[in-house]
Amino acid sequence: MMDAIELDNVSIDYTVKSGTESLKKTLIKLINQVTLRKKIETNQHFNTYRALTNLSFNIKDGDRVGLVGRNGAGKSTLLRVLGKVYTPSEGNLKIHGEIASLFDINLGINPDATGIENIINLSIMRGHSHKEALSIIDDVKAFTELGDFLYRPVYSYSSGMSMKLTFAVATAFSPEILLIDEVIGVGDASFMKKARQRISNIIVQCRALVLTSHSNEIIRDFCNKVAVLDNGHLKFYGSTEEGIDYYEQEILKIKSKAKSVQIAQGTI
Amino acid sequence: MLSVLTDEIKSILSNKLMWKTLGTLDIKIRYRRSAIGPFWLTISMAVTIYFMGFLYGHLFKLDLKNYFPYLASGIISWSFISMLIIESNHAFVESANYIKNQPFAISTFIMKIITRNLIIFAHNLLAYLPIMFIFDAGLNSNLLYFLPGLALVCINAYFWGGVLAIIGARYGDFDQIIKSIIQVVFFVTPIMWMPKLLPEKYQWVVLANPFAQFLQLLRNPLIGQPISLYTLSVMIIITVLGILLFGHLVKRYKYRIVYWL
Repeated sequence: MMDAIELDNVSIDYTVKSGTESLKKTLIKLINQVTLRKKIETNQHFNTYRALTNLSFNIKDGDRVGLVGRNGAGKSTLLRVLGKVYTPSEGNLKIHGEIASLFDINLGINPDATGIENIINLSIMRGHSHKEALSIIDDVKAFTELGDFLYRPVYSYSSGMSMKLTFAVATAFSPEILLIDEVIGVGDASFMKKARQRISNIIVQCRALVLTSHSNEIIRDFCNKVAVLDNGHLKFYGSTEEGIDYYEQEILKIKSKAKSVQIAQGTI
Repeated sequence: MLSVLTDEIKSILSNKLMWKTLGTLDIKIRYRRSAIGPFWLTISMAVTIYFMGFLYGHLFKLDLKNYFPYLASGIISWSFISMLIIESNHAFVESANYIKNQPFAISTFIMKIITRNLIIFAHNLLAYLPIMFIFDAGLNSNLLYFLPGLALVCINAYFWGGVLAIIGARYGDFDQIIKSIIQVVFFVTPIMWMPKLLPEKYQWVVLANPFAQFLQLLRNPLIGQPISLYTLSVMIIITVLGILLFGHLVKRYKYRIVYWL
């Protein structure tokens, strides 16, 4: 069976913003260093820490992988590495197939544009052609039941309506490899049922799936494999039931004793 | 570095639909609710240049036939150049939402800025058309230099715009710094005043000013004057510098930008 995704010793050094990155300060520091000819103690504007450490595993065709771990374990970071948003600082990542991500489904919605315009723009920004964008309009219309609202600007929508729209567009195309970050579990009960049905449909069609969730129920429903992350390390990779057991016993058990997430400080 | 640059330039072509969509949508929406749409740009530019032309022409006691087209073309060209510079700073910051969620070629967001400003520039130029005929300005073969001049400005808007966008993503105060610099540059660049009014010994102020050369590139064809060899050689040096700096920054920081946003 072919591999959809291969990770070989992948590490990520994440740059943390301090919120005070200033060109003025940097220049003054530089001038002082040159004129006073001495090294001045500086507090680094940017710190990096290793968000993911030496991850090696393969995701095969047909795998449905659930990422579990505590907050800050590196789940979302790993998804963004697989989605090619973050490039590995070390190691090799190979992805065989076209990827689509459901991270922030509100991404790129323009409140001043009409529903139809947003459907087209969101599709184009996801890398589809104009023709493909037009082809999903009927599907989105049917799913969202927004009717004439689609011809009005999105700012006139309720938040639920605009969420329906972005969700429908994001799930209108079925990719080869699908990455989902906590999107299942939004909206009211009736919408959630429809949304889950729609996600199930594209999951069935895709070659590989990686999703994060804090809900064991969702992991059990959608996944046949579980990867347990803790502190940026891969602790377990195997079947769903074993993975969930491992996570609950080995990771959550030590939660009370564990000190806060250790951050290795460094420089860029 | 060469492979980094060719990758970026290839991505401009492959992502054409994205930056065209991003660049045009803002303008389409902004003027949707008015009957004449983006021609409001033309009208407001026309009002500005017509009033300023008369006012300053009389203040400086200049021959309106020469001064009016000079000032009008200068203000239109400068507003294009200065907006490109100012908007390039937040090219990545304003598109942070996209960059943090999907892989994108950074060129897409630089091209968006250029597209948007080219559309605005084209509308502003319409305000200049009547002046050309009324004052018989720029209606000679030198007008042919306009398109090559514009192309050279756009090439620099890409490479230097990219440099500004990367620095702007890294440093939060860069935007403010650039805005204040642009304000000063407006006064030291011959936009409202003519270089010939300067005494001989201060002519270097114009020659040493790179923004004056950018301005000449657009303005001279519009007022029927050739682009000087001096301007052209300075522009070539600036362009080469821009390409080198852009290539260096992209090679070094391309994958870091997403963390800065």
